[in-house]
Amino acid sequence: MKALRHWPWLLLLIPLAFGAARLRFDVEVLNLLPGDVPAVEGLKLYQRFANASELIITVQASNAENAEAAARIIADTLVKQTTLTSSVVWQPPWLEHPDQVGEFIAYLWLNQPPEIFGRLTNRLSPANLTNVLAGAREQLATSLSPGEVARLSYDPFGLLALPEAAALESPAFGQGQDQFASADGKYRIIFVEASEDLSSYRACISWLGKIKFWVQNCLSSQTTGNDVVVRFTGRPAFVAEIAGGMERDITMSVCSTVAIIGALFWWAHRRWRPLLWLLALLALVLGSTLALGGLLFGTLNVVSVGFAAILLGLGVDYGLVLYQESLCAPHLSARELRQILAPGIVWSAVTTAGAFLVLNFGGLPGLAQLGSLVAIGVTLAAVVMLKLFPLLRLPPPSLPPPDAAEYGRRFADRAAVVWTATLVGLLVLVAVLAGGFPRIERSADSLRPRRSSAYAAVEELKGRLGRSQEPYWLLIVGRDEKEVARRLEVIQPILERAATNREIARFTLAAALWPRAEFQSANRAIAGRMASERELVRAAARTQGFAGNALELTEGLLDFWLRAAGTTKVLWPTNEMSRWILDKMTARTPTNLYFLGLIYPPTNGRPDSLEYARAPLSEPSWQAGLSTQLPRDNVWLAGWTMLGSALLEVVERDFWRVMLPMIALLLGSLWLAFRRLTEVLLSLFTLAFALACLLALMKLAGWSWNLLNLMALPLLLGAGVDYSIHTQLALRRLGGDLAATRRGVGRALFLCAATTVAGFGSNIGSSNGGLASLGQVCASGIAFAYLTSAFFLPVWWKTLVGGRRFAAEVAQSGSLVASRAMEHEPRTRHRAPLQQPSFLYRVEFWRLGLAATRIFPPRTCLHLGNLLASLYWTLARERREVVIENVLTVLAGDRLAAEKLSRELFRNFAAKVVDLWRYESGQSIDSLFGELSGWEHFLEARETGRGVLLLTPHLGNWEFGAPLLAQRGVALLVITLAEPQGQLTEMRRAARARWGIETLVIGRDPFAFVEIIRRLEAGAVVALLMDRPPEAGAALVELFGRKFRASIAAAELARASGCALLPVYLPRTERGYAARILPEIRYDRPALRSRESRHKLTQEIMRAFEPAIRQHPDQWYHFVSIWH
Amino acid sequence: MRAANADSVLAAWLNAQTNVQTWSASVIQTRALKSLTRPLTATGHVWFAAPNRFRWELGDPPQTIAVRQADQMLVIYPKLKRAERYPLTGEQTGPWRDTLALLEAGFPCSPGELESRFRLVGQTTSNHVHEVTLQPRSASARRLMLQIKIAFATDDFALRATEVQFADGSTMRNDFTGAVLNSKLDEATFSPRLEDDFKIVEPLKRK
Repeated sequence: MKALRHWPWLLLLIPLAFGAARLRFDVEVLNLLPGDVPAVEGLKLYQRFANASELIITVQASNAENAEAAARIIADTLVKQTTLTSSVVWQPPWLEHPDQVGEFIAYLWLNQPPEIFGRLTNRLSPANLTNVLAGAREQLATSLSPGEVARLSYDPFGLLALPEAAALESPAFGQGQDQFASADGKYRIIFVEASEDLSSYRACISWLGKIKFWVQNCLSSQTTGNDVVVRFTGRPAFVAEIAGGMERDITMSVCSTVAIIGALFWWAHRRWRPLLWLLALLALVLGSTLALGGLLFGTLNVVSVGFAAILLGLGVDYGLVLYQESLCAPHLSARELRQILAPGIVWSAVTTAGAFLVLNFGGLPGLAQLGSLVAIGVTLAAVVMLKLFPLLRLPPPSLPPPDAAEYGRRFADRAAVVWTATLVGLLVLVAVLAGGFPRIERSADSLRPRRSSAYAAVEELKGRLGRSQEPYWLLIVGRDEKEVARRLEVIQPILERAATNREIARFTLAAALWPRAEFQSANRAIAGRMASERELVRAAARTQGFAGNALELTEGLLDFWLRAAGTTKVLWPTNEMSRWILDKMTARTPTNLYFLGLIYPPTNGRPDSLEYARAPLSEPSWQAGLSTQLPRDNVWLAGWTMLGSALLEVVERDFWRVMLPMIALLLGSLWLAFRRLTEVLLSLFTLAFALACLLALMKLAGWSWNLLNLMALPLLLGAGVDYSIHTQLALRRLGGDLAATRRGVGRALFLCAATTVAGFGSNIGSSNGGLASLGQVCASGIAFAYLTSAFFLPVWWKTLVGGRRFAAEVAQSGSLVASRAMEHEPRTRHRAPLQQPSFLYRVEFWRLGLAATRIFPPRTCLHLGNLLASLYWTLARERREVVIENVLTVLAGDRLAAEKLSRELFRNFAAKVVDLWRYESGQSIDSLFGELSGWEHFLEARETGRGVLLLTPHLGNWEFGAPLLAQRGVALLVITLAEPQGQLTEMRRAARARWGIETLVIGRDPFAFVEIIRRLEAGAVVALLMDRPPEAGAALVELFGRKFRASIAAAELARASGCALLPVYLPRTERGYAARILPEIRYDRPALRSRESRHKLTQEIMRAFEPAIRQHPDQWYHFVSIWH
Repeated sequence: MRAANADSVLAAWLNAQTNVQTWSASVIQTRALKSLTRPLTATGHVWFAAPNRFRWELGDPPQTIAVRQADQMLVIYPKLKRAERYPLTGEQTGPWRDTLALLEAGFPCSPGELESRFRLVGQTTSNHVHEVTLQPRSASARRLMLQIKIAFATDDFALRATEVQFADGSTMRNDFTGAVLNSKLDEATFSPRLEDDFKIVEPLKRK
């Protein structure tokens, strides 16, 4: 049955399962970045070009022959794997496919202005053919350039002699090895395009694995020498590396954090079961967070997977605190543990989750996701730990009591040391930081993987092929060829001017390679005519002694022109060689066309120089200058080098958007936790001190701030403040006892800090540089925050806030448990106890209660009463303390038991009042009665013919004695004091009268007793409450060893009337209200003439009730102070 | 024995080259190109001065003149009034290196230099002419020139002919006649004066 009550929790499995199914991982670094930053937009556009998606295989050997042979073998092998590769290029494609050059040349000519195109066609006109060919023959005979001889052999018409602009921008056919090999030939590169879709990282990993297999296979089967070194780079290699690194990182960081948590817990506690339970709950939290991450985000990026270890390090804190508290207070139930620790844990979770959530304002989507995941996880961890961890109950080890005598001496010694260390530390920090704070790294290196063989291969490639200076990309976008062409025309002179003015070193804008629709349209007709006259060309060539193979290039050109003549669309070349060339700088999608230019930055004060890295962002850069000249629309200047600065601008701009809410949250949390300015300031100073230590460490170790680890600052505020909060609250709770604080909460805080440091620190080994630096800075900052809170703050607190007052009170109370009251109620011990009933005991509320019992079913009323009682118990601190104080004596001073019992007492009282309302509203209460015992005593007393005085304490539902007697045909006279309101008194009198019960209200009227005596003498049955009498009618007796004011009225009435005295009480049991009539208390009537005898009789009566009260202390209802 | 003889002949020729200070000859160059149905022939003259200066002239009147000086090579096109200058520094590769290799083929060089640049593929002797077939060691050089043949007289070790075989199977053969050894050459031979209307370009200079 109990398990079924928790079935609503099982519904949560549905969204979690859905989230887990949706979960994907994204290794694209650009997706970490804000999409609205132009540099990022540009980089994303760049991904459309072939350069961005090709795999590059580098081959290095001890000599050029081996390198060329190895490259050839690899290329030949991979070309045959058509399921893997669509293109493999290891040498200039025009050398590999010279027959394809004609189409490209024809395309270049077709894009020339008509006047230039006309010069070529004139050259090829039938009248001119002979002269051209004769000149070619003469050149072939006398040229000393083998290249020229080779060219003219197969290009007798000089078609390769393009106009200067086109010649400069197109490949030098016959050459181009420098793009594929180093100058010494020992280093070569191979470009490979995949034939399958590599959009997912798993596809990249799988495809790259197959490529590597084939490469290894072909090299091992050849005798090209064992000195061949092959490396892989380009997008597929980066993606595979980053993805592999990501999977390794999450595994390693989680495993190492779990191992450290386990080791620390074992070192501290040496217990397996709570450790395993803790780890199981952490696994639940982690899995649920991942599932929720999948539900909310769908895809997690490579930085945010670092959340796992961080979450473990933070989430375990709540479990450790709960466990430590259960060791210190082993008698607490799970519910009590939660009640005591929930405020602290909840506030801690709020500040920590809040700190991570503010990363959403930091400008980096990757970090925002990390922050959101940790916030979700921390919240989950707080709920799960609070709800589930206390369910595991173990016999506690014993803790040694604090040694009060040592306090003063230890403190004096330690204070001097700590204050001295504080001053020295401050001086050292000032000295270190006077030279400046740690610098800010402006590059985007923090986004790159560390220890990356793919990046190392890229750097080697740049060095070996003489491309050490990385260009910036100029990306031009248009809806059609004309739009892009127009933009090129505008941009070309701007770049030329910039190069002339040395704003840039140089640029490459191969505009001649872009199709010019208007020129193609103008040249189409002539081109078609030339193609139709190809027979004349062939004949002229034959006449001049040229063989058929000399015209391959010419034939290819004429074929393309023939195709051009047959269409009106813009014509692009289609063969493999042409596509390979054009894909390097053009890209086409169904909606847009893209063109890529290269800009080389100026050589003085280059943006990637150290000097520039130190320069403030406000200093004008060449990019800024050029950007203002370039068109704003559909033109991007991008590059990895400028990414860092652009993103840093975003981060710095958003930094205060992150910090200000965090500071507000921090100040609010501190105030709500302490409500004392001194302690708030102490926490802030602790944080500032820890932060200064961190800055000093960064300065000395040469660490720098970067895009990612800048976000450590709000995180440290949110996570680091916890230690100072817990430390100061513990000091308050323990009366400033440093040793007890260290022994109690100190260990828990050490474990919490160590696990948090472990969680952050496990990311230091991450393959992502930024995440590693974030982990490094956070781990260090948390360590400093803990050390400052643990070793400095207690002494600062004791000096500034003062522990003497707290220490004296702790010594007086003699127990740590008692001193807990100091934290919650520091002022209640100095106030006068409550003597008046609650303001809720009014006619208005009584009427409301009566009406509610008429409207709602009994169970509903009971539940409602329960709820309201719990709420009242929580909110009415003073009343609660009164009740606790009242029952404390019954429970032999066990404060914890008294606290627990007080809550139950309030609930039982609520149930009693609900039953009373039912009774007073005229409803049947027969079902509420249970057993009746001792009725024979009542009958025996009645048989004597005397009046019977039924004596009852405020125990159980004493009011129900009247209807019980009424059921048995006994009329009862109830003696009460006046209620707080006259209307209430009358209302209650009328309610009893409905049951045939008479009420006599006694107060200041002394003649009321005369009536009571007369009735008793007449044999009436009268009920009288013994405890809480008016001052005039009180006798000081002993109850549970303490002075207690009981009503002497019973003894007075016995002396006056000789009535029988019967103790009665009606406690609520499981079977209803049980009426218990105790044996008559006999007395010597004549002896009652002395006050002392009457006092003794009163004592005897109260002593008779002690067992009943001891048995049902949670139904002994006194809401004002009863002890003398 | 024959191999030993051939090697000794080659060695002797190489040894004789050390005595060459200047050398000049008329040349008939025959180019049998795969893209032509008939070979092309041109006449010209060549001068050499140790250690590495030379001047080639092809055509009558000269259509192309190539002059190698200590620190540069000039290729002059008189008809086009154009000259190309190639500095002989650094490790630049490119077509002009191929031109240089073509023009230097057969000129005196030390055994060590020959050994470092070429691999001996074959040797034959016929009619008192010893012909050596060499293959460039450099893969990039082999991309253009598959092999080079050098023919010299066995009696006076005078250079008779060189023949270059290109990658596509075309050949370029130089037949030398009227060779003059160690005569005094005018310095102006290797320091051509270009007229003011000549356009001088440096193709290797980056734009």
